[in-house]
Amino acid sequence: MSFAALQARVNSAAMEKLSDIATINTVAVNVKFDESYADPLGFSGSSPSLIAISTEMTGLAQGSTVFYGGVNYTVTAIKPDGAGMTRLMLQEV
Amino acid sequence: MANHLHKQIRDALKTALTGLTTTGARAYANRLQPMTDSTLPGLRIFLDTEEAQGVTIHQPQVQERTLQLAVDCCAKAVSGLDDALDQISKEVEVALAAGITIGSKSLQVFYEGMEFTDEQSDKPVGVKRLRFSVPYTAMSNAPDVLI
Repeated sequence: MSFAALQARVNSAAMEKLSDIATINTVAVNVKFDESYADPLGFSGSSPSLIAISTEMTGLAQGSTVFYGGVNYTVTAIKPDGAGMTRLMLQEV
Repeated sequence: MANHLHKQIRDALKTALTGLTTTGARAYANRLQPMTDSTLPGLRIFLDTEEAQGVTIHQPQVQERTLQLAVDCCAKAVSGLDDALDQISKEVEVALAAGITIGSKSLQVFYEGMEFTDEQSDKPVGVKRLRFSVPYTAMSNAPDVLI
């Protein structure tokens, strides 16, 4: 088995066990959601993002819609990690 | 003895900037804590620096002082952030153009420029920092009395 195939298998197994469902562009996708504290410019806030298997997210672009935990978001940045996963930076709508 | 003129000026600025249409009571002097959603849109008032120049030779000296201050117009919005900050800064500039009152005396407040910064957060946040100067005169041994 190639390293790439092994990596994809590990990613898939991890996301199957350690993820929630988000709706990305109307498609349900397994994601790990993160909303850590941030205070840009001295404002209390957060930096919401999610990570998912790259191939499970289709039609991604800045402005794509995400629904997670009862909140609607828009995608502000798309950050592939080069190892089969992609982090989406989010902004509340 | 009265408070230092810096405090008197800061208090007068806060009074002048409290109750504006957009920011209401959310005007804060020397606020170090992060702004929360309940404090926005809001204003942060900072006294930054001061230059003093003696106009007499002997002590105690009559000094012409120029205080540099900043008013941060702060907002968080999904859309129209620039427009909101422009509106807030308009209200601040109009309010301070009338000057401030220290005791029975008026001080002029001069607009000197601005810097704009914004950043992504859970919603976009922005600060329009307005810089002003306040010239006044005081004795070197009585920084609490305006002359």
